[in-house]
Amino acid sequence: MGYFPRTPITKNLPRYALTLGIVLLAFLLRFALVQGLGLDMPTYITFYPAVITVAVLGGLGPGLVATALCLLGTALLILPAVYSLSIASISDTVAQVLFAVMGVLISLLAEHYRRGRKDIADLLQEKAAANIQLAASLKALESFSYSVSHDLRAPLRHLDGFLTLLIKRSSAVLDDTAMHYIDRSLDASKRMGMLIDDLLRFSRVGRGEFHRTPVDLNKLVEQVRRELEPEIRDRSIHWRVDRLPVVSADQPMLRQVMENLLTNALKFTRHCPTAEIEIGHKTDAAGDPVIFVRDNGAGFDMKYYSKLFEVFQRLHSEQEFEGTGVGLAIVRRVVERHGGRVWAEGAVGDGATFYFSLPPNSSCAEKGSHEDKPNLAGRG
Amino acid sequence: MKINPIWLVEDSINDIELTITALEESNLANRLIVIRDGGEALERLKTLGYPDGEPFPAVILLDIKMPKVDGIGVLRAIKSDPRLKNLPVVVLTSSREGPDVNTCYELGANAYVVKPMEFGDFFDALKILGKFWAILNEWPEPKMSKG
Repeated sequence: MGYFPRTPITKNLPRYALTLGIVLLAFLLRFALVQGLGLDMPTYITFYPAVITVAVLGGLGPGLVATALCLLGTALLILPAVYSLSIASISDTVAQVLFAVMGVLISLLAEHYRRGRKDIADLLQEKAAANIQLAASLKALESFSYSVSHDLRAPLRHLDGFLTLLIKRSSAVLDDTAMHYIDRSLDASKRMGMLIDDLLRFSRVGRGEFHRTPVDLNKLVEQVRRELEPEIRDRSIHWRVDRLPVVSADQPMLRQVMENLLTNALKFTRHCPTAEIEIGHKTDAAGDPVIFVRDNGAGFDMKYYSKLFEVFQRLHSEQEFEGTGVGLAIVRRVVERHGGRVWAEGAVGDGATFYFSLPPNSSCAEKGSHEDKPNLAGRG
Repeated sequence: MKINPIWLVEDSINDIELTITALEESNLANRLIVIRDGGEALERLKTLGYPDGEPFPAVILLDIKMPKVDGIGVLRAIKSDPRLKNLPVVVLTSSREGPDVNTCYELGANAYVVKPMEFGDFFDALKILGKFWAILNEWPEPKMSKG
């Protein structure tokens, strides 16, 4: 069991001095009671408490030493020197052996107890250290995204600025191809800007504040739809919205989820003569509410399902459907923060359905281990 | 009428050039004084308003992220100095992230502007800022000190 301490003897000196002191005290007490007051006492009556005290305070080593000292002292000072096997001497011997066994057991028990306490103390200390580290890396992450937004944005603004000035100044002398190159560069810098913004949005979802309140999904969906209205005014869209439940969620985050899913549904039904978008709900095996958004749009190939919710992964070309590949990653991150899960079904040209579950009271399952490896976003 | 200059405290040569171009287009009569880092800004603030020193600026356009002394440090120096605290300071930044907005207003910034990503918007923003702070805005100009 590796009970024997490997610490240098000097470090143990106080423990053994204490042992000696307590054993001495036990002898003095015994002499005072028996010789001083003339009481008739069992031989080891004061030694058991001594051994227990020493073992609890000092552990296995001191406990054993105390046991040995008590036995030795008793043999030398208390028991009559016997050379024959009288009845009395046999009972003394049995008492001695019993005392020795008890001493060893008490010492082992005490050591066990001390180790347990030490383990707990170590664990607590480790946990405190881990917490400090976690807070530090969270802070590092924050300052990282801060400087990302600062330092990556500025050069883009400059690129955009000087290209625009170049067009302004030289459009008369530049031919179409040259203008085309400049336009391409401007588009690229704009796209880079979008990617940075989305990356920041995504990192914010992972570390932002999180407060569950009852959220009426009917109202929320209504709000999101109203917000998207301007973009779809001239499209033919057939909405089918179920009566939705009130769920327990972080309102702004859930809104972001619905916004991303509906934006996706609208985006990928763009080429349908009439878009059919259904928002509904059911209950999963665990009895938790499951919300789904179904469309009859471009769909996706289940072969690439594993990429669907990953960051910056897209299953359509930028020419087909614009996007950065962060939208579904954000959906997944938010749902996971709620302790729920996301999944989807789809077929190429045959629409897609996105599902997410929202367990009402799961302790917001902070999927901490997922934080460091960005594994999000999909279609839009 | 004496025209106060505009200070631009900014370390990025690109931002300086783009800002100058934008302000030129708004035809302001104010002279633009470009200061390349926070340390230099602190030095020049010291002599501000003394008879043989520089005139007070109508507005200080202050970038936050600069090496050595950053914009927050300059802002703090201005707003904690009774002689300078009335100077209008407009904080310009590239980022919406971080604690900057709150910190700047706590310290007494007069405005906080995130430089727009698109140059057209950036251009417009600077023209508006120039016109507003250099022409429209009235402020209690600190008294010239007597030496």
